[in-house]
Amino acid sequence: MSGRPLYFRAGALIFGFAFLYAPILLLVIYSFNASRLVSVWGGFSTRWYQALWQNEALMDAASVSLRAALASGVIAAFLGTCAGLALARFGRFRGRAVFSSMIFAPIIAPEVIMGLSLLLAFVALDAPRGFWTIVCAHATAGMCFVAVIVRAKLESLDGCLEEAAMDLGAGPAAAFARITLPLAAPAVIAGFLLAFTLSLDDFVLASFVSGPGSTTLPMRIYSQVRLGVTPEINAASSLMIGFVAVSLAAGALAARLFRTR
Amino acid sequence: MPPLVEIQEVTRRFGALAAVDNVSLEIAEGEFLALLGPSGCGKTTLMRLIAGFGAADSGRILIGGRDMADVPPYERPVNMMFQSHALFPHMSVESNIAFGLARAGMSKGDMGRRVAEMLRLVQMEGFGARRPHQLSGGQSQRVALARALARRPRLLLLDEPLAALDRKLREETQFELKAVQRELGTAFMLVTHDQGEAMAMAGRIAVMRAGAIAQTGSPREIYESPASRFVAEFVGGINLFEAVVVSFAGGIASARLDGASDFVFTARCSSPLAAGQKTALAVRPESIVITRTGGAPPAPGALRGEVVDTAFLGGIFHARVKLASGFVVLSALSGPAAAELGLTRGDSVDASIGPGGGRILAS
Repeated sequence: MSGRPLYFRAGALIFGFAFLYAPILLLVIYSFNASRLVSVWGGFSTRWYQALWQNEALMDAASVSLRAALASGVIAAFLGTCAGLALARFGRFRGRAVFSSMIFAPIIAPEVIMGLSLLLAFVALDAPRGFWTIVCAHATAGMCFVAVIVRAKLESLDGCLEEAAMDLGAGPAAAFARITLPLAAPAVIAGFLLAFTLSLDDFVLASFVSGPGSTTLPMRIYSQVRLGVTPEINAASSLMIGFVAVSLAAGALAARLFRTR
Repeated sequence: MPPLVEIQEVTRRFGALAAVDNVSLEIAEGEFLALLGPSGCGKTTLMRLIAGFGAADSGRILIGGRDMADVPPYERPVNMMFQSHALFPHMSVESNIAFGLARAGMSKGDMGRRVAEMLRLVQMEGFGARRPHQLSGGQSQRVALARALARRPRLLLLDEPLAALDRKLREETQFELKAVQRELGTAFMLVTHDQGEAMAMAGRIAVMRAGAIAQTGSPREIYESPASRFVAEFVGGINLFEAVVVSFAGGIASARLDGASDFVFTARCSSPLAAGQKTALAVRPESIVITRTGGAPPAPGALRGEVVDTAFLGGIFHARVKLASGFVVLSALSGPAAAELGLTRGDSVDASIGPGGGRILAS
């Protein structure tokens, strides 16, 4: 513990949190504003949430976002787990160093460049842009995070566990299914939730690879905001923040429930 | 009866290094063998080859007369107790022990009975529902033993099983492991770098060095008649005097000590030596007899020196005696003998080799 006085540490903490969350809090508060004017408080109301329910364009966008996040999250969890396993378990195979640094590339590379390159790839493949190209782009970005998390988890496990299982009569498939997979499960779930959240949040990749009829919620919000901020947008954004917060909390909870040591 | 395990000229290379170098060894049904050696001597590699983790580059391993070359670890009649214990953290103690039984297709009822029996064997009744992270080091060691023995293997491999335990617990556990081995009659192969552990538990010891077996024999043989300088130094305390062979005939060698031209020692030696060859005379500390000088010149066969250090170790008393040649000899005396002598630093004493106490080493 540092010797600094309590009020200093508490102050620093409050300032830090305020810096991060005050704008978001403001947005959430104004989503309950009864007034149509965004910057004038007109009393508490949930009318904008009701209006949101009737706004088909926003609801459609939300549905696209949720479905894309779910699909890309599942694909990212599967591919990322495979990649994480390969990096953690298969020793020094040829090209391991290249593979392990390339898995970080999509995390580090500017999103704009990734979006552009994905768009070029889809054009070259003559793939019709729409829901599935968004899923594909988000799965690509998400799997890197899953791979990194799964790999870290597997490397923290005792390497003898699988050998012990095989020594006790389990073939490679049984050892994987009964020992490796259950122990990696919290990392896979955490990775899935992270990929899910990233997909839900993403604006840049989606705006590159989406097509007509597949507008995600962030894209819809952005295009509406250009015409002026409405309290309805505040409500939609607040719901999105809530959703992301809940799924991140679920990830943390899953990691805690499955914690083995 | 044919041996349970026959290791025939097995070599295992990692790159240019031969971790196991042309090793031949047999393990009999029901015996307790210790594979003893310093770290990096290849003992763990050899054990893993028996378990089926990794394949020999040349040579054969037979278990129960069957060549194990194409038999994967999960089909071998051996089980292993890992150094880290490797308990499955997401399973209860019971499920850990039952894991191997379920893989063998045992019925639920039989499995429950066997698990209870194993828990009783390692004195862990009542711990079945615990998770591995709720166990102490000693308890997890017992569970690992129970799990490895549950399938009734013909051979149990133990990889430094007591390394994670503190000293007192380690000594208690040594006797318990021995008792379990006697009760079940399963062959045990213990891999260890701790000579005390090997001596305390094993019926037979194989000393390994740089991938090869340096000597095999009972703990007493290894201790009293080491085959080489390495074995003599690795197992127990030892005084090694540099010497030159004077003569060799009929298994008896005479050697003259360096720096003491008139001191010739005669002892048994297992392998032939040539006159003039450099050798070493090995004497265990407890075979060095110390007497007070009393003014007279040293008796024949005794060397004069000065006590430079003493240590009281409970039942044993250690004295370091610096000889005229500068060589420091370690002598271990029993408590009463030491009390009678009343040695202190600076005393002038004569050191000699007790009857049957020295060995002339071949290499």
